[in-house]
Amino acid sequence: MATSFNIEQAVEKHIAAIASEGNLSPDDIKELAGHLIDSVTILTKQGLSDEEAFMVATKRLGTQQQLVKEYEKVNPTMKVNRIWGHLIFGFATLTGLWGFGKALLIFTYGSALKNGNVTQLSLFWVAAVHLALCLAIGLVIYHKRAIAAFLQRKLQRRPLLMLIIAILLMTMASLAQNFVERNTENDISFFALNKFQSPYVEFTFYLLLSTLFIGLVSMFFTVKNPENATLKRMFSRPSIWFLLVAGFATELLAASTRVLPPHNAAPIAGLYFGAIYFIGAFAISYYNRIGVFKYLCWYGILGLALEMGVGIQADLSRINAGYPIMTPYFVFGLLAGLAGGYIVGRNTKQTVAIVS
Amino acid sequence: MYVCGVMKEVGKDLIASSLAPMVLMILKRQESYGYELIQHLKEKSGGHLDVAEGTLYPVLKKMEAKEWIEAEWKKADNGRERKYYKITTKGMKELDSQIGQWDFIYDLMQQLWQPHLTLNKQ
Repeated sequence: MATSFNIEQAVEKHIAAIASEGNLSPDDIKELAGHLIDSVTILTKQGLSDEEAFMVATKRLGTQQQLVKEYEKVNPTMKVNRIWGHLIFGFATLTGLWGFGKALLIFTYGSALKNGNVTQLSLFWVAAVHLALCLAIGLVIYHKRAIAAFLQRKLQRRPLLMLIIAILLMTMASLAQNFVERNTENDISFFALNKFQSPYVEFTFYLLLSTLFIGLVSMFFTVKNPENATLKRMFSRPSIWFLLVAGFATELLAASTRVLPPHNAAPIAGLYFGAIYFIGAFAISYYNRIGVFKYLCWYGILGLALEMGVGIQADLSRINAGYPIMTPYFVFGLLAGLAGGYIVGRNTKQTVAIVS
Repeated sequence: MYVCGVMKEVGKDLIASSLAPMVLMILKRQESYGYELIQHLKEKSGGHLDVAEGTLYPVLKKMEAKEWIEAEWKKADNGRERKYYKITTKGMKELDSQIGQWDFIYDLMQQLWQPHLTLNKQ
């Protein structure tokens, strides 16, 4: 009888679950897995199906708690070593990726600004690199579960090799950064934005910073949830802290739309500003059935406070310098964005009907 | 009242302290691996030895750390690698010492048991 049950995979998964909780060395994992395979093989020879044999064998092996407790007695330093291993791996990998990202940006800026003249094509190229990095961060967040499972498996099997790879990555990133810094023109730094005089480059850079910020926030707020970080999981029944932090991130992103043209056109700036809030408000209204009004209040409160406080200050200096005031447009944009997102989110739900 | 000789469920503590000498006794005869050791013990006890099989491995690890046994990964007939254990000279001495201790405890219990029996029969 054909069956989709894969013993090797089932054994590996079962032992990995025990190892994830306890102090098991790669040798212990191999030995326990071998025991289960032996046990299953004998039981199937006695006439049990693969699934039955696996169930009996795992029951005989002992519960996760029993095994974790017993291994803890013989490998007391293992957990501590593993935590340090993970910390060093995480530090080296993140530093390495950050270094490569920086090196890529400096290289991109350097080649775009070569010879002092910036072409439209090079501006497009710089903005595209910003957007590609945003996409890469987004993909990492979306696949966080698969990535974490993969890394954990590798770290359990070959901890030393993984640490060496991470440290190599960090070293190579540092070398790459040094190399591009030496081979580009002077004073091209990470923040070479104003040299381009392009609102699109500037805006996509802010978008990149916001993605990074939102990425970190989403990782933090979905830490208890081992599944992939999807929009639905983040926005349905959100905590007040999440709403405040998401509101702050939205405010930063919305405020960065001010660099976009046309300049000195307050109504259009207000429209861009409101559009960012519209997206957030839409997500909240779309993924929640009850309590949406309260959620939207928490989501918008920081932005509103900042616009009223910092915005009015800025307007006072604008009046003194003879420029038109902006704050009413931004405040109106914010409120209209929230209201619009609410209305559209609610109505979309009725047609799409999400059943969770 | 006589329960001696009738197999009952053995307490965890007693199993924990007797597992090491029993493993040493098996390994004194031949080298073996975890699964085989457990099956051997279960078989000899007539299926009465009810231990979580996986908990034998931490015991083996402890014994290995104390240098009573030594382990080696070997390829088995089915192509998979198995960790084989064999007893060391230190393990032989330990086994002798532990058997002596068990004998001592057994004798002591026998002696303590006698007055109890006589009291009961009165």
